[in-house]
Amino acid sequence: MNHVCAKTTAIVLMLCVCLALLGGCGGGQEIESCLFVLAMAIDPAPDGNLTVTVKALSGTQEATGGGSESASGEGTSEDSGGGGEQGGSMGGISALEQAEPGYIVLSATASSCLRALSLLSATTPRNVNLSQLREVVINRTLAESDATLSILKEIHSMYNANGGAIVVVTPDDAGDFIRRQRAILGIRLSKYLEVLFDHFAEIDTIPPDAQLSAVIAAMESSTIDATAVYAAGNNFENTLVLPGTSETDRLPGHLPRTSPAENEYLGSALFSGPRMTGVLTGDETGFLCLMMGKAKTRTSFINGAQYKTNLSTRVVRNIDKQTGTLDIRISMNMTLIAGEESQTAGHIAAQIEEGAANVLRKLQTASCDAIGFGRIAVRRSLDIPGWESIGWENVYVDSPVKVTVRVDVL
Amino acid sequence: MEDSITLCPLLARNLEIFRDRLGAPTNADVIVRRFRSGAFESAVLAIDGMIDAREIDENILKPCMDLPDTAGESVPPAERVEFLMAHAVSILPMKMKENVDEILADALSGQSVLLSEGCAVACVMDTRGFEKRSVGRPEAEQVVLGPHESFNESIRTNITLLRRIVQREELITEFVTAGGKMKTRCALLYLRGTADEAMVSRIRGRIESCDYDFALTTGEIEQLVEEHPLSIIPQCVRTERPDRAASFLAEGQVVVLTDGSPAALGAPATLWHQLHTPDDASMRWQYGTFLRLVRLLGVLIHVFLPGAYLAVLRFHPELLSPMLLTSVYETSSRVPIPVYLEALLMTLAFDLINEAGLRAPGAMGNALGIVSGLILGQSAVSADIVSPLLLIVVAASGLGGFCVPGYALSIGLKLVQLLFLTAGAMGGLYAMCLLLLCFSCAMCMLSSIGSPLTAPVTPHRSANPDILLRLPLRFQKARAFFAKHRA
Amino acid sequence: MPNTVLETRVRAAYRAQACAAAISVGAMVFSMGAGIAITICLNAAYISALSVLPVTALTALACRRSLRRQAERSGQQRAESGGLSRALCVLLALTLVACAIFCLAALVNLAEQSLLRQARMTWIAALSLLAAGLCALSGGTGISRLGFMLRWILPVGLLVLCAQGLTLESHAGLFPLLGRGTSQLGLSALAMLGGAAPVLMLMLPPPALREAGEEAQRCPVPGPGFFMGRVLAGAVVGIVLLVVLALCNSYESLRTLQNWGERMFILCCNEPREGIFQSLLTLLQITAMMIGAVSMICAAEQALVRAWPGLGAHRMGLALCLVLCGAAFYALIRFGFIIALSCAPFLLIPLAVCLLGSGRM
Repeated sequence: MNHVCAKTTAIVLMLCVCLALLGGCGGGQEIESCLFVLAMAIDPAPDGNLTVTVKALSGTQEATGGGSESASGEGTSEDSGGGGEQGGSMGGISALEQAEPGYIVLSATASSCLRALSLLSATTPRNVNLSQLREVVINRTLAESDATLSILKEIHSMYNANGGAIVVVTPDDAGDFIRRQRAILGIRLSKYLEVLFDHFAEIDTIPPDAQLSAVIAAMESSTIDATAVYAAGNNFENTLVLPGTSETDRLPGHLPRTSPAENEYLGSALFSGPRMTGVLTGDETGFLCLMMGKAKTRTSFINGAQYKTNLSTRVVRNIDKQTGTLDIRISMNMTLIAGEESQTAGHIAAQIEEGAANVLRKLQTASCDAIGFGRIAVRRSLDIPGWESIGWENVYVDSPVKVTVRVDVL
Repeated sequence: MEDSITLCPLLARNLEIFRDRLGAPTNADVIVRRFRSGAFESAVLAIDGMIDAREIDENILKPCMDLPDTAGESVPPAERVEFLMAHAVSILPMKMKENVDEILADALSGQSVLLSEGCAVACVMDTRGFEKRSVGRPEAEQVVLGPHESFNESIRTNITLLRRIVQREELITEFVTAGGKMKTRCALLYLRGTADEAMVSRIRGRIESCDYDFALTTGEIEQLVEEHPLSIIPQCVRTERPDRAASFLAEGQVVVLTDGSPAALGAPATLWHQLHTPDDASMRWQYGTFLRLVRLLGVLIHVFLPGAYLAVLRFHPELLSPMLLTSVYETSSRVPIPVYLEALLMTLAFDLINEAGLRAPGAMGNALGIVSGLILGQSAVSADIVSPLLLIVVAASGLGGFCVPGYALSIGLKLVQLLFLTAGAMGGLYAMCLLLLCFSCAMCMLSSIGSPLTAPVTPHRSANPDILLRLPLRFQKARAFFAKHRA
Repeated sequence: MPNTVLETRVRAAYRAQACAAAISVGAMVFSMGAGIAITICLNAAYISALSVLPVTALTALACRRSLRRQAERSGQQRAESGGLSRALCVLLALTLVACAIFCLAALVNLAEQSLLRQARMTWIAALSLLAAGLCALSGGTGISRLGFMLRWILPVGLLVLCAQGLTLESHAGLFPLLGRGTSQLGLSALAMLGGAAPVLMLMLPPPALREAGEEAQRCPVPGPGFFMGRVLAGAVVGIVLLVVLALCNSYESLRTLQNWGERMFILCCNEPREGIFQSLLTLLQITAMMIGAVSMICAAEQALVRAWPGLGAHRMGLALCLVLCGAAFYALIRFGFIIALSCAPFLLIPLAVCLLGSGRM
């Protein structure tokens, strides 16, 4: 028995050793062979190509020169190392700012996002790793086409991108947008971005479900539509203060402010299916969060008085069976913090109702069911063919809306 | 092999046999003292240095030589030794023997042999008086609360230490010998009626059937009696504390003491026994439970942390936070060797420092740890040979290893740690998970003297709430599952 | 040994075996649900999986009846059992090996999609087979004891980790309730019936009894509820995991997923799928599948040795089972895992035959 046991053990150990020799097939890689991308930008390029710009960890604390230029067609990439070689055969200017210490900016142009990323891998040379991705910035022109969903799915499934990365749509050049993106507070860009998005989500000026995995799921779904963060670079020349409106009731890029942080994140990009169809301002996004039931405790300014609000009950969403009205009922408490109370609870409620209804109609115009009325409608169908035969997209657009708000001022 | 022979009635012949076997007069340690005891001749045989000469002088020689010349005239020759034991010799522990091999073994262990003319039986008396270490403090099982006595190399002293604690008539001490040519004396202690007789006889049989030339220490006895010698995990529990050995007896275990070894072996043992310390029972149940959990955490860190670190770095970097990743990325970029080799080197270095600290004498051993740890470690980091985070991981893992109560188990876990390190480097968390399953299956199959090693958790046996958590003593009402009577 | 002590230990052995069977059934139900039922009826896969419950209960009852008959017979009578018994044992062994191959295939696919995305499938398969072989070396006793030890940790851990990925709006994933429709639901329910096949491992007594001797083998077998309760609990856990799968993903997302491993991996994907919770969840899934596979391999070995006692020498029965698994894996990697998914519903046939012949074992 002992002899057999020893023999069995010897055979098993030999098998383990053989397996160890095949350890190279395990797919493990040293950490320094990876290019960890923190921010990614996708722009349309001539001839139907895409330009992918990434901001990645450089592994040193020295500043590297930023540079990018790409030839069209087959696509080339340039390593933005210290020298910063000039562009490819099509000419072009690479007069861009230095990347901050610890980061490197690279870009490549190819016919698809995957090919551009593989081009980056081949020429860097490192394996592109999107597991630490914090931000995906898409140019508005691209977002308004049908290509967004396939791009996002490619990077999520093929490159194992971090599903918590925030999807941002910008009217500017997306590559320039991430080049401008710096950690002005603290030293780590990743932490800066995390705190930035958390902060804006807290004050409800960006939509709550703008993570990559949520956006992909919503784009694929027929019962809800996606929303992404809308952002732009400030042009600093516009200091216009619009009377009668709040400072956040506008789109990014036009805020009357100056700051080392040129990029402004404010408002929502609305999608209908895979295609962008509209935008909301910062305040409108606040109403959107309220109607989705994801508004946090926030501070409101009403006629010079400052109120702190929180939702005392859940937001109830319903679709009337007879009339098909999209019905939202909100109940909230408000506490006066500063100023004098110049309006009754009823007046305040009416203002909120009007604002919310306007936003809801705007969503309908953009054919974007971001609130998720489709999830209520689908319960009335027993199976998928029955649901798909209803044609919810058309029903949603034409349905009447009703918003009821109850406010208790404490 | 010679047939064992017995004594003959002729004193001179018997003495000649003994001298011949012991190699006297070349062997200067052999003492043979002939004397007149009453009406007949007698002799004492002993080994110099092993005996208490004063005791022999005062309690054997003097009383025998002071007998009147007519004493024992009417005593039959075959009963002369008995006559002397009854009327002259005043030593308490004694046995009558006639087998030459047995008598020689006793003499070699420090006992004295009394022979008489015309008598084919000898009396073996315990007159041991060799130098031995006094009862000291435990070296490897120090506790904060609780007794501070430890076993020493004398089996008699060790038995005494146990008997002082377990003062029960059911406490049985059986002497058995292990080994072939050089027999080692072992003592089996158990509580009659509590320990299972089948288990006792199994252990006794295994010790007696050892046919190695010699089995000198408790560790060797343990390796010879355990059922799975190829296993990494020990199947018996070792202790150098009498109080702990006494708790084994109360649980229904058998305690094996080995002459010349300052440790006791408790069998059967479960895996959980090896993770307990005497401090757990001495303290209040909250502290005992907390310390046990800390110890368990230490064991887990020791076994899994280096492998998990490698697995995350090589296969699952998404599990790291970006700030930590940045730091690791920057430092790893400067290290010239792959991270697996780096980890192996650091682990080996830690073991070297450990081993060197144990072997280096006295004050040097203390200084060695400081020198190696601080200077070498710091230098290695400054020279970019290793990354600081890996140094921390290896150090934390090493600290966790020191939390393991049993030294034998800690060595076994050290080897397991290396296997997990390799698995983590080869196949990430997946390979580590598979390896853990293999180990768990193997451990579930192990048994200690017929009792499953992972019981009472699996297979289920009813037990006191004292496995991972140490609940209050009032809830602990039964003995271990392998005891004969559990109440 | 006193009778009460022996009976307690025999009961413990049966209990451990029942726990291993429960884990096997749960793993099989989930793997089949993710691999077959979801492709047929999308988010209503959990409804179709309910069909496995009565079959599981019936199989457990039949196994218990078979065990009782075996306990009543002596060792001599068992050894002299005829050709029919031998054929049934062979069929039982092949069925269990097929179930083990299915579980291992699911495990390999899940690992490839989740933890080892860069690794080659062949390497993952080799590693998994080696691990299964090493675990099976310790015999059915080791794996069943391990299953017993994890009988609470596995299901509770899985459900807690799944729950942390759900939100208040997750219920939307259940709708439309009937998925693709009633006909697809019915077809899927039929396909899922084979998921009860792992319960067949209870048809043979635990290996620990064989080692303990004749007296242990003649100890009374626990009641029907003893086995049925446990395997049903395992099946219910598998079904609950399919519910969570539906809760976490809309039917549109499920429709786009072509890969079997990806369908299993997206569990708990309401939250971003990276992170420690997702990894822990995947590891628990892998553990359950491996325990299931190894338990079935050990039971298959036992059945083969019962049919041909000569295979007991040098663990030839185990070697034969592992060779079968290896050959099957080679074919699956070469020709695609779709073969395993296509053949799994046909496990119902040998299951039915074994149930009918359970009295002759």
